[in-house]
This record gives sequence, C-alpha cells and structure tokens, in this order.
Amino acid sequence: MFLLAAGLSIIFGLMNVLNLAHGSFYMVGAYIAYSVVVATKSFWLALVVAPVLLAVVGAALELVFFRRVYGRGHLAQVLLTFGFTLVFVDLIRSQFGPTTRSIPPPSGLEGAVQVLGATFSAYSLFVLAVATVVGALLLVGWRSLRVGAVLRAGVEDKEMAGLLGINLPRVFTLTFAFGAGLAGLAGVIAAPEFAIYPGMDANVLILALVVVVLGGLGSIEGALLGAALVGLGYVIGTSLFPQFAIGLIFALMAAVLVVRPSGLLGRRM
Amino acid sequence: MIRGRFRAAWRPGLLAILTLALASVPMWAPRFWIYIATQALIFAIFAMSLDFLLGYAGLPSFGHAAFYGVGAYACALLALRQVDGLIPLLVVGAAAGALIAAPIGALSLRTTGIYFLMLTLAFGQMLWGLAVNWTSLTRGTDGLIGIPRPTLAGLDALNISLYERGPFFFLCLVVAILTFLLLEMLARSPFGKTLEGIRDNERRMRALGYPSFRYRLAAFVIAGSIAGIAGSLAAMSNGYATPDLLYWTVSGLALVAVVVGGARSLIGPVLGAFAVLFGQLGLSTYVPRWELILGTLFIAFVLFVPRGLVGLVRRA
Amino acid sequence: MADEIQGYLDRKLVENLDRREFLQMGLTVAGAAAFVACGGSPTSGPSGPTGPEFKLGVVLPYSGVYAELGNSITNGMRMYFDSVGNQAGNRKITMITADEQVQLADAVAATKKVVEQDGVDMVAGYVSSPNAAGNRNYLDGQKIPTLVANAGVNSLSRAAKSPFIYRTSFSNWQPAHPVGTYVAEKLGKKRIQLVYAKYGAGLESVASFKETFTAAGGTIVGPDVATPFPNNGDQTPFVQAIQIDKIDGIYSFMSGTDAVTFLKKAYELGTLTRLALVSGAGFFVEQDVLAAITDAAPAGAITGLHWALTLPNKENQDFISKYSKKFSGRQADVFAVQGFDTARVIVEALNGVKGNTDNKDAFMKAIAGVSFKSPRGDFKFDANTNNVVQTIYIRKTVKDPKLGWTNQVIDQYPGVADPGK
Repeated sequence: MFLLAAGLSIIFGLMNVLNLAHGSFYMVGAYIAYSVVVATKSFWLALVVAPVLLAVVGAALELVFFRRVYGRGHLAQVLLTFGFTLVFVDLIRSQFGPTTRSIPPPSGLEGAVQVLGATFSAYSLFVLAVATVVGALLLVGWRSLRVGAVLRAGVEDKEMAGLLGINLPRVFTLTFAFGAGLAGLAGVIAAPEFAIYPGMDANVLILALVVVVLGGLGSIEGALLGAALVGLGYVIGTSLFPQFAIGLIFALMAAVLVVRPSGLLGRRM
Repeated sequence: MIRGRFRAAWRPGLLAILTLALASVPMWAPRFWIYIATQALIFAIFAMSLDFLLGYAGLPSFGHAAFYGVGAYACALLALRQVDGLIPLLVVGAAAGALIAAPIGALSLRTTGIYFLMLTLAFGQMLWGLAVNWTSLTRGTDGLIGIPRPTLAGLDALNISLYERGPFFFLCLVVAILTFLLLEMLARSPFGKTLEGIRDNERRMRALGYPSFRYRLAAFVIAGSIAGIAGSLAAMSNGYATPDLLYWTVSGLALVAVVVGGARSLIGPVLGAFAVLFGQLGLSTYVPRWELILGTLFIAFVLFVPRGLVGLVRRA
Repeated sequence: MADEIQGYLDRKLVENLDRREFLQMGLTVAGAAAFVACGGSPTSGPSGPTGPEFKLGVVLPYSGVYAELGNSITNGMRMYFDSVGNQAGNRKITMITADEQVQLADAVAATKKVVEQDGVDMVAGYVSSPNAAGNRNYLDGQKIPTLVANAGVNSLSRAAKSPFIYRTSFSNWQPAHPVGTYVAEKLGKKRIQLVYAKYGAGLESVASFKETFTAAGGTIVGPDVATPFPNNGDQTPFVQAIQIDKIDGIYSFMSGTDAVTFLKKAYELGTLTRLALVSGAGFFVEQDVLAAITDAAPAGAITGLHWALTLPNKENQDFISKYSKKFSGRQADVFAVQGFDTARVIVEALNGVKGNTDNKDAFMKAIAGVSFKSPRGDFKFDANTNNVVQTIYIRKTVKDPKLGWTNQVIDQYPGVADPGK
C-alpha cells in the first residue's frame, strides 16, 4: 500500500499531476507478475521485470500525453487519466479474460508465522519488510541524493531550477517513470497477497489517494505516515465495524483535513 | 467582471437551438432514445449544479453524488410510503440535498483545491457506506425498488400520466430549463459576481469585507439542493434508488460531463451530460468494447478539445 | 477438411468470444459452424426455418466483475442453440446481447435497449440479483417473457414473482437448504459458525442453512463473520475471526474473487485445516475459484450446489466434453450449464407452441411445462414459484488426478423446490 501511495505521491505531489491511471499501473504490474510467474515460475524475476516495464510505459505516456496537460488544471488531468483507466482495463480484459487469477507466494514465504503470540502469514510480513526497506531508501534518497535535491528544486520553484541549468522536462519524465515503476512494484508485491482481476485498479486507487492526501501532498514522509495510519485505521475499523472499515478511513481523512487542511505533513497548495 | 456583457450572441442562439431540439425529441426519437435522453436531462441538471460550484465558485466537489443520492432516497422513501404529488417530492429532494450539504460544506470549506476535492470525496463515500449498511432504511445493496411515479394535479385533468415516457421527458426538460434560468440568474447576480471574485482572489474579497466562507457555503448548499432535485427526478424516472447513485464514480462522471462540456457556462454541462450519457449508456448497449472506445475518446478530447464542447461552439 | 474448417471456426469463435466481438458477428458464423459440425443432421436440413426470426435479448455482464459469468452463460446458450441448428418451431433464433455490467442503471438501459430498439420476443440473462429484481417491474409490465439465468434472489420466486418471469438457475434458498440437514444429521456436526459476504445472496444463503441446521439440533456459534461485499481489503482479520477452538466447523457463502482471497489467506494461516468441517454453498469452491487458488483449496470441504463437474450422468459427461471441445479447452462450469438449460427451455417451448409467440399466455404455459434431463439432472419448473425444481448435490472438494481440484458428489437431495407460494 505504501509503495503505491509513494509512487502516487511523487507524481501527484511533486509534479502536480492528478493521475487516476496510477491504479492501472498497479493492475498491470500484477498481471505482469502473473505472466512471468506462469512462464518462468520465478516471482523474483517478476519483481524486477514489472517495475522496469512500467517505468518505460510511464515514461512513454508522460512524453506523449501528460506533458501536454501540465498547467491545464487538475480537471483536464482527471479526464485524461480516467480515459487511460478505461483503456487499460479493457486491454487487460481482452488479453487475460475477466477471470480472477492468483499466484502463490514465492517458496520460502508460504505458511504462517507466530509473532508475539499472533499469527501472520509469512508473506504479509515480507510485504511489510519490503515496504519498510523501500520507504527507508526513498527517504534517504530524497533527503541526501542529488536526484532528490533536483526534484525538490523542481517542485519548489520551477523557474529557478530551470535557470540553474536543470533539464526540467527530463526530470519530470524520469519522475513520472519512477512513480509508475513504484506502482508496478506494488502490483507485483500485491499479486500473491490479493487476487488479480480487471477492476483491481479502481479499488486500490481511492485508498492510495486517501493515503497521499492524509499524509500531505508531495511529501514522502507524509505518504509513509499516511500509509501507516490507513493500515492501522483499517485494522481497527475491521474490528469495530467489519462491514465498513473503509468508512473509518474516510472519517479519519475527513477529521485530519478539517483540522489540518493540508494533510499531516503537507505544504499549502 | 464585464465579461458577461460581451458574452455575445452565440449563447442565446445556442440555447434556443438546444431547447427546441430537446423539446422535439419525443416526436421523432424511438422510445429507447427518449429514455436515454431523459436520463441525460436528469444528469444535465445534476451537472449544472456541479458547474455552478466548480465554474463560478471554484469548488471542485468530488462527492457531489452524495446529494444526488440523498435526494433520490428521500424521494423514494416518501413515495414508497404513499406520499404523492410531484412538487412536494421534488421539494423534499431539494431539502434533503440542502440539509446534507450544509454540514458537509461547513466542514469541507475549511480546505481548498485538491484537499477540498478529497474531503468531499470522503464525505460522499461515507454516505455511500451508510446507504449500503443502513439496511433497515435503505435495504442495502438491493436498494429500494418499485417506486411509483407521482401525479401532478393539473395533468390528471388533461389525462396525461407521468408514467408515459413523453410527458416525463417534458417534465425533466421543464425542470432543467428552470434550473438553468435560476443558476444563470444567480451567476449574474451580485451574489454570483462575488463568488467569482472570491474564486479569483479570496484575500482581496475578504479585505473588501465579504464573508467569503458564508458565500461559498451558500453556493455549496444551493448546488446540493439542486443535485437533490435531480436525484428525486432520477428516483421517479428509474423507479429505484440504490447505493450506486452515491458512489464516487457518479461524482466523477458528473465532473467529466462538466469538463467535456466546458465549465463556467452552464450550457457546457448540459452538452457534456448528453455526450457522456450517450457515450456510456448508448455505447455500452451497442458496442462490445465500449470502454476502450470511450477511454480513447476522453484522451483525444483532452488533447484536442481543451475548452470543452462549448469552446468548440464558441469558435465556430 | 471439414475438421479443419470446424477447428478454424471454433478458434475464431472463441477468439471473438474473448473479445466480445461475437456480439456483432451474429449467429451466421456460429450457425455455419454448427452446420458443418452436424453434417446434415435432420435439424439443420438445407431448407431452414421459414417463420419470422425469433429474437432473444440476452442481458448479461460482459464487463466488470461478473464478466466471466456472463461469458460462461452465453457460451452455454450458444452451445445448445448451435446443437439444434439455431432454430425452433420453424423460427430462426437470433441472440442479441447487451452488456448488463454491474450497476442497475446499466442493466436497465441494456434491457430497455433490447426490448425497445431490437424488439426482442423474449429476454434471458441477469447475473446479479439487484439487476434482476430492478428490471422485474418493467419486464412484467411490458409482458416480456423472461428467463432469469443466474440471479438467485429469493423474492423472484416469492413476493416478486411474475407470470412472465421464470428462473432456470436457482433461488439462493435452494443450494443451502439440504446442507443444513446434511451437516447436522449425517455428519453429526452440531456447532457451526457462519462466514459470509454480507449482501443479499450471502444473507439468504446462510438464513436457509440455519433453518434446516437448527431444526436438526445444530447450534450456530456467534458472532458471524460477515465480510464486506466485495471485500477489496485484507481478509486476514476475517479469517482470524473464525473461532477454531469453539466450533466443529463453518458454513460459508462467498463466491468469485472474495472466495479466492479468503481461501488463500485461510490456507496461508492454516485456519481451515484445523477445523473438522468446512461447509458452504457450492459457489465457495466452484471451478472458477478452484482454478485460481489450486493447492490452496480446502480439501474435503462439503458444499451444496445444483451441479458438479464430476456428475457421472451421460448428459453431463456429454456436455462437459463438447463444451471443452467447442471453446478451445475451457472447462465447463455451473454457469455454462445454466445457460445451456436456459437455451433448451426456449427451444422446447418454441417447439411446443410451433413458433407462435403472439399468444403470450400460451407461450408462458409452454415454458412452464418444459422438463428434461439436464446435465444437472432432472429439470422442471415449479408452478408455485416459477422457479426450477432440481436436485441439490452434496459435494466434497478433492484433487482428482485427471481433473485437478474439483468437487466429488457424495450425496444428493432430489426435487428441491423453493418454498415460495
């Protein structure tokens, strides 16, 4: 969940593009994982292939389409990316059929483990571990590496960054590709945990949006915090009102936004 | 703020053509298309209310379907309890919409821009969850079905039944025209101008002594009540009210209609509503891979028709 | 040569089915395929029908979460129509499909489209219960002969029954009812927890189970595990809400994607293997679910349904092999059987009235009188409910060396009829 939200946050927050097709990237990632696992039986290969492929797709889409709608406001972007979600879901369905698919967790991560008296599936813990590692890497990269600095500069003040000789269009393409790749990674990671089917994109998109907004736009720390809160909220929500755990999450978001109109760690837009 | 005076001749002309074209629909269109056109008209009323919010007040609501759905449920619940009469039921829809919009608006308006969008989405989804889970009132996902259509005193004397598709279409047309006139009047009034001022520069307007929050809240409640009217028309037209009506995709579709048609024009959303509904209902019942086609259309639209359908007309 | 053509046409057909382009293709190619296949059997003689075309509106989901069910039902219908040369009562049968999608608004538009634009003589379809119930008043008011081919909502056989609407699939009450008796009496398991997706079908199914189960001395151990429908989130908390230590087993109603994610998670956590009994309505472990989860399947699960892949009767074995041949190796499923039987009811009723559907009462009477041996066993309608009367099979989930994961029939309750009046 965090991976997805981080990707979305990067695209959305940093580039100021509201990308509804982000869920589609996630879905495509899961389907790539399915194809790779069926063909080669290797989950680990899928873990490499899917993000790379999606980063390429993301870059291509950015170059051909999204580039043209920067500065046209969020609504044009909503319409454009909504169009893409329809196209993606149709392509996936015509390619793979409407059946629900699933892949088993990679060997070594099957079964359950006892942690502090509670039972978890081994794979769930693996997901948690991956999310933590990627989160930490992003945080470090964001704070200390040159790429992060360039990106932050681009976000804070486009003109100034341009004057400093930073090739902004290229940075944007790369950022978008990176975000799409993260969504693809999230799709692969999610594939053994959930079912794979056309329509899985829409379900996860809203949740990812909530995470991003809850944490505050354009903030990796915010996305981390948001994901943790949403995850926690979901667990608590499930035990309180099993039917409508997601309601609690929305209530949480509403409460946060009412008190802090820019999200927990967001900057004012 | 003098743009209004220069809005030139294209507008009344387009309006007249649109009204005449619509009014003639029941005379030539096959029954099925009258049905689709009725749905589109109701959706157009809904989209106009959103345009008022989005185009004039600058408030992109992503939870507007909540008021639409609440209006539909209010109308359905009363109609199922033998409450008859067109006007009362429409008023109830409007009141329900306004009643829900007031607190949601009061809370959501603390934010702006994308946060406002998400906050309205959150409230919309919470109401949707309520509709799904409050089974004793709403019958959950099965929805309320078998809602009778109301009668209108004068029409009975003329032996016209709203169960007929033609008369019901005209009813929706009349409501749509009244909605248009009302919103147009509001938009041109000092109230509307103030809203636009607040949209463009809130700080200045506040400095000038306008209570911007109250203006925006008023706009939000007005839009909510009109969405409620559209919702109660939808309940009468379809004979059912289901939680689907409140789902975020409906809000999304309305936003799409406004953007496709061209925001801040009130005519645009009408054109957009027709385009989107014909695209979705029409296409999906005729063409197998409608999602691909509709998606491609949207993409092409954003790239090549940036100002919406109204922009096309204006240029022509 | 003929085989090659047949093979090509079948491949073509399936490709098109997958892309849902068959809608436009109409029945000409399919008809030709059947003609080649039958090679001059009496039903597809060169003369062809001379009466007016019989248009059948097929309202089924071809997009959205239920698309797979829509495709299976359509395949089943097409298979039966092809087998009789796409004609009955001297009328050529044409299927006109419209996408039911998921939401009622779309299903209503699809229904109105086939009725008003295409002027169909009859409507068949409806996967989702709210969609069937939501179109009921319109179909009833317009007096359109209708066959419901999946939606199981009980009310269609009870309060919302219509003289124009018959159901060929099941009422939610049916598959669950014998399971309660079987679990309590024959298996002697008396402490059961209910696990279900909380929506119409789930609630009706567990209510029906509870009826016979408690009547036979069983106790429902609370609290129920009710998952949201559809559950797009993590199933872990729901799986963990099963009170392993306090119960003999569970009765479950879930289907499709929900069943897949639930069973996978339960397998990873090792929950179900620690129970003496996993029981449920057959959809919980139907072939679509088993194909997706493979070895995460709950071996030994006891479920009730009106069909099983392994039913040994000749009609079923015949159906399964022909289905698989016709649709390039696809395994038949319960939905395909429902489609197949729906088409058969239409053909037999048309033959019964010699193609005259103008007298609707007579046509509906002919439909009500149809009975035959279906792949699922004896098929007939109940005059009280307009619902199918059928055998409910008690099945056990096993891994078959040839078929892979499937359900073996271990007992049966013939002639189960919905209790509607």
